[in-house]
This record gives sequence, structure tokens and C-alpha cells, in this order.
Amino acid sequence: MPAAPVALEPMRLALVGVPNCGKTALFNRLTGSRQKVANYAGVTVERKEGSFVGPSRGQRYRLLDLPGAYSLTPTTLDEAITRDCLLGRLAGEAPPERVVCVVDATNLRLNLRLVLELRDLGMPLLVALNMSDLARDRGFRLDRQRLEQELGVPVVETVAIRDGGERALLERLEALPPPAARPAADWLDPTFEQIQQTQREVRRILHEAGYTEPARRRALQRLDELVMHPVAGPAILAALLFFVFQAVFSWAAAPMALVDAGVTWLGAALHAWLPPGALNSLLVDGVIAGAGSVLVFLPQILILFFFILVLEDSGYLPRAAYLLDRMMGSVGLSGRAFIPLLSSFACAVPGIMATRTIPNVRDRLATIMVAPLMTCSARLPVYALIIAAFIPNRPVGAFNLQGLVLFTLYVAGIVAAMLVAYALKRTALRASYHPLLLELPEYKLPNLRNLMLGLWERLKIFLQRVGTIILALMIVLWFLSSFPAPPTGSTGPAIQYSFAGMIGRSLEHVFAPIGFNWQISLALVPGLAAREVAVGALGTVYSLSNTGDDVAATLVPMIAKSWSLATALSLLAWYVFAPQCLSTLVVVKRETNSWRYPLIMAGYLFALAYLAAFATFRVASALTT
Amino acid sequence: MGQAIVAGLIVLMAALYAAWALMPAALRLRLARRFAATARRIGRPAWLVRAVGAIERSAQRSLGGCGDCSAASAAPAPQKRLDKG
Amino acid sequence: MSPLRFSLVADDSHSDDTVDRLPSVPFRILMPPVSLSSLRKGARGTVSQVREDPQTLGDEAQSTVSRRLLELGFIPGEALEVVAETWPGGDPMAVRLGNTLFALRRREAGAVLVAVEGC
Repeated sequence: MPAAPVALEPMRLALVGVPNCGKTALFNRLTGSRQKVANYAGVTVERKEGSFVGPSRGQRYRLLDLPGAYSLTPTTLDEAITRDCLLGRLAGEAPPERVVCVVDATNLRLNLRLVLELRDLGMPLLVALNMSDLARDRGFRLDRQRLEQELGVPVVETVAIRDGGERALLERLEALPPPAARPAADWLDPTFEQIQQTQREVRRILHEAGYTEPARRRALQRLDELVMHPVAGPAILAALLFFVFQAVFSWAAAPMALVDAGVTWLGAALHAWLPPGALNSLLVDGVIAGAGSVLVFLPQILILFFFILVLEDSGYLPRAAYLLDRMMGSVGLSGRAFIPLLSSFACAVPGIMATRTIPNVRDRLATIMVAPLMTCSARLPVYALIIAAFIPNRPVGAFNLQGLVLFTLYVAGIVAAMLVAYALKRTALRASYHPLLLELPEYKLPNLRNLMLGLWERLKIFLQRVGTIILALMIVLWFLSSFPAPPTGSTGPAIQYSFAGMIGRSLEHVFAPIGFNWQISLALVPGLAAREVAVGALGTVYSLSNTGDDVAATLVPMIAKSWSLATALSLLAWYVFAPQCLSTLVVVKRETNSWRYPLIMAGYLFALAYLAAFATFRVASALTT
Repeated sequence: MGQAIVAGLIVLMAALYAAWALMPAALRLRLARRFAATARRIGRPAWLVRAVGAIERSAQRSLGGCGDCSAASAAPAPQKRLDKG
Repeated sequence: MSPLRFSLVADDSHSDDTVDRLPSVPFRILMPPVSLSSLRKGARGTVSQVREDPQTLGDEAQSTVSRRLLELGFIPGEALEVVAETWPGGDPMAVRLGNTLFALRRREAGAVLVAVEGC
């Protein structure tokens, strides 16, 4: 039977730790799907909170996952939030009642100092010795009880990536007496001497606790010599990235054909089953042709995310940042900008939010401004569609022409970003110094379970996106494309006479110089909400343009025969630059606290898009006629 | 005729949803609050009041194109508040 | 230009698979400490001091490079080895501090003074 009464209010906990200690895995392990992501009041930092229940007494807890911080003296916005939250300085945020400090058992020398800093602040602490199984397997030795004695705070072993690995933590949490109420902590940045004193104390404690660290495994040592080799390193990076693009095309081909076949079958079946009428057209031309066209690209997006997750989990990315730092420095960006920029390959929104780890505000701003140029996954359906329709599937040496073209598009985005960053840094955002100072964590074999969970999350997000906003826009577009109905005796597809046709025709004047026909011009409008919508919109527009029972024809052959190569290339060039994503602009506004930057960003990106498309169209037209 | 009615309803719902999802977050929150307050005042039918309340709560979270990120969450950030040192 | 070095203890053997630990400092007379920014790949030693570097790392006044270096473990007595350099220019560099790897630019490394081991 429980000894002390269970508190009525859930107890407020906070999770802190240095980066790379496995804190997020532990947070996920504890809270599972009961997570809520929002924003801290007054600042634009993401606030992750979850809840869980103690195993034996039913005590409820609310757990706040604070951003990783090396110390309470912040160098980045993230770290400032962690400090402010712990000290109770955040508006509308009561300081946590107990702090769970996660430390990496394989790197206690780096991790323990923060624990001492928190302890000396008087925070009710519980130390989670994470990755304890890994440490044991690798030969680390530690007397946990001695460590607990020396620290004066409870120390519990956890294995965040394993089922039940949090059990000991939960039991210990419940067993602890409720923390006494204490006044808001006072904090003064420690002097140099104090920091060194703390570090000496850390080493003393580790010595007393019998902490032994084994030598680094020779295989990993050799791997690093290769990966970080001055010449082989960048070559490996380039090869790796290229391999990923090849895989995105070749591995996805079969699944995509499957989805495509399924979608067309469904469309044809529905068209035959329902009597002809408005609903028939809505479902077949609007929903299935529209949303279906986007759904087809799911395999490619999943494969891309698979590789991004593997790279993130493996510990390779900071090494890539190290290799690229000089190049990024030459355009005025910090090497640390590499990781947010790489995240932007998935979606610019988390990439832009990840810039909070860049210390200098001008560096951060420059990175934010170029992040949308990183080819995000939403561009992939557009690229893939055009490449499939216009680039033959021919081998070029060891590679495939389609993969090569895709790679070129990605490189174009990167080169454009570098040029823009250079221009920015030369003019508006001049800053003299770009710090690197990056920890290179040990290599880790990506955890299969986390990988699958990550992909599943991505799948859900994609399906949700298609099933809600994309579907809604496709339905609205169908309506605009079907009404008003054409007058009797008219020739040509009905869509030309509809609202959409009118809008498209008027937009065509703007876009004719760069080779876009009215269908493309029209598709770009809903494409502002999300880039993939353009594919769906083209699907609907062309499906409605079909006279007769050509319903089963897919989009690829249709655009292959109605567009010129110059138009297709021009659209590709447009998409490299165009800011077709409201969400990105919104998040830039949040992160920079003003509308000025998103508007500037939209402005310069549209201008670049138009110029690039114009140049491409003219050159391509000249070369192909 | 029946088809046209069903189709029309679907289009209407889709249009409302699209407008809702794409409008600026602050405006969305304000509208949601106004709806919820009106619903509470009218009081019935009870299920509609609850539904409107749920809409208000969801307006405080993220909506729109990128559903996964907190980026589109409602509370606008007035200014950075970081105590120095 | 290698100054005269006087070693009373034989160098730790490099023939085994393990990575070097803390060398026995009191028994060697080493050259005067040099800045980490001047060391090339393969150099080993121990940290002797972190100089005050007013260069700020972030936007807050207190967040200097040298403070962060201390917090990351660049304290006197800690074993250090330069494990990699990029090409061309050798900047940034990668150092192993104890058991942790860090990538840093020469500019940041300038604040760290190292007592270099004999070869």
C-alpha cells in the first residue's frame, strides 16, 4: 500500500541534459504518444510537454522536455530557454517541481558538470544515467551507488531505447518524497575559476565512483579517420548524398507503380459504378485524380526520410558539418548551419526552427533566409512528375539519367542558397565571426524501432496533409473548374469556360513569358498552400480536360504530350526557387518576430524564380527549335 | 439532382475547411473564441456547444499545411523576452 | 623547428590498440605551452590553460568562447590530441579531448594553451 498520499495535481517535472545524451528518446519512452507541442509564451521556442503515470501508485506527472544545454550560461536561444524555465523566469511558466537530469553514461565527463550546476542551484534533482546498457557493453565501469553518494542526489539507470528501460526511473520517482517548496533560485554566471573548480569536482567524483572509460573501439577510430579525412571525407559525403538520390528514384519505382495502378483502378471503377453527374465528377476528377496524384509520391518521400533519419541517428551529421564548415564559412554561414539546412531537405519548417542552435543572430537570420532553397520533400512530387514525363530513363555510366537530373536540381538549390547567403553576408547581414565549436558524438547504430516510429510519424503526417488540406483544396478547385458549365455548342474541354479556366487564362498573361500554359498558371495558385498541391491540381485540371472515357490515363503521359521540354524545364527552374509554402512564411514570421523577413524572403524568392524560369525557358526554347 | 446536392455540400465543407486552415492563426483563434462564446451563451444543442469548444481548442494548436510542427500554433509571439545574464 | 626536449620517462608505447590516456606530466620537461591553433594533426598534449577570449559565441555578453571551452572540459590537465584537419587550410580541426571529439576552428582553438608531448 502506498506510504504517502498521491498528490491530486500532476507533479511538474522537467527533463534537462546536454545535447546527444538521449534525452529525447527518454522523453518519448516516458510519455509515448501523450505529447503536446506548442510554443512558450512570448518566445518562439518549441515547448514539448508530455504526461505519464507512475507504475505503482498512480501518481500523475507532467514532463517538460527542455532544449539540450551544455550549461546554464546560454550561447543559443535554446539554452536561454532552458535556463529561464529552470529559474522560473519564463512568463506563465511555473518552475518545475523536480528536475530529471539525463546524463550519457558513456560520456560522464562532459555530462556531469551540468548536474553539479543544477545541484548547487538547489534544484530537487534526479539523475537518469542513460545508455547504461551501452556503457556496460562497451566496458565502462561505474559504481552507481558511490556516484549517488558523492553527488548527494538519486541516480537511476535508464535505457531509453529499450522497453522497460525507464522502469527503474519511474519507481525511483515515485519513491522520492515530494520536494519541498523553495524560493525562486538565484543565479549568477560563474567565474572562470568557479567553472574550473566545478570541473575538478566532476573529475574527483568520477574518480571516487570508480569511473573507468575503455579505449575507443579501433573500428570506429578507423571509420573516423576515413570519414574526416581531408580528401576522402568530402568525397564520401558527396557519394553518400548521390547514393541517396539514386535510391529515392530506383527503390521507389515499383511501389509507386503499385500506388498509381491502385489509384487509377479506383478512379475507373468509381466512374463506372456511379451514374454520371456532379458527384461522379467530383469524386473521380477532383478527389481521386487530385489527391491521388499526390499520394503516388508517398514511397519516394518515405525513402528520402528514411535516409535523413538514418543519418541523423548515426552521428554522421556533425562530421558532415565539420567537413562543410569551410565551404559554408566562405559564404558567411556557420558550419553549424548545416544541420538545420539538412533538415530543410525534409521540410523547411523544422529546419528553420532548428536554427535556434546557431548562436549569432545574423548567422541565424542568414540561415533562415536560405533554408527554403533547400529542396524540401514537397518539391519532390513536382520534380518527380516532370522528370518522369520528360527525362528518359536511360543509364549514364554507372548512374541513371533521371537520378542525375534530380541530383542536379538539389545541387542547384544548394548553390543558389550559397550565393544568396554570400550576397546577404556581404550586404545586410555582415558578421565578423562564425563560430563552430561542435561536439562530434560517437557513432551509433540507428535504432530500428526509432527509425520505424519516425517513418510511421512521417507517413501519418503525409496522409493527414493529403487527406485534409490537399483534399479540401482539390475539391474547391474541382468546383471552380467545373462551373460555370460551358454554353451549349461549345467545343473543347469544359474546363476552359469555368472560373478556374478564367483565372488560369488571366494568370497566363503573367506566366506566358516563362512558358507556363494556363493549366500550370492555375495550378500554382493552390500550390501556394503546399507545393505538392500543384501536382494534385494538375491532376484535376487535366482530368477534367479529358474528353471521352480517357479517365484512366495518368498525368505523366498527358503532360508529356501537351507541354514542351522548354516549358517543363522552366517549371523545374521555377520550383527550385519559388516560395510556394505558406507554412514556411508563417514560421519565419514566428522565428523572427516580424512580417518584414517573410515578406522579403517571399519577394526575393519569387523574383529569382521568375528570372530563372525565364532564362531556362528562353535558352531551352532556342536549343530545341 | 441528388448528386448535385451531395456534391455541393462536400464543396461547401471543403471550402470552409480550406479557409479555416489557411487563415492567419491569430484571426482563427479570435473567430474560434467568438464561436465558442456564442455557443456557450446559446447553450443548446449540447453536442454543438461541445463541438465548437473542441474547435476552439484545436485552433490553439497547429493546423494548415505542415501539421506536424508547432509552427502554426495560435499564440502569436509579441516579443522576445529573455533576461540578460 | 623542434626545440630541445628532455624526457625522463620513455614515451607511452603507441603499438597497442588503445588510445592514450593522461600522460604523466610531472615527470617530463616539456616545451612551453603553445596555442592549440598552431598544432597540426597528430599533435598530443595536455591542456595547460584557457585564455580569456573576449570573442562572444552567442548574443549574450557572458557567452564567450573561452567560457564555453571550459564548460566543455578544456581544463588544465586534460589530455588532448589533434585528430583531423580539413583541406585546404586545415581549418576547422577536430580534437579529441579525453574521450570526446570536438570540431572547432583555429580561431576558437586559439584560446587553448597546450603543453605538447614529445614525439
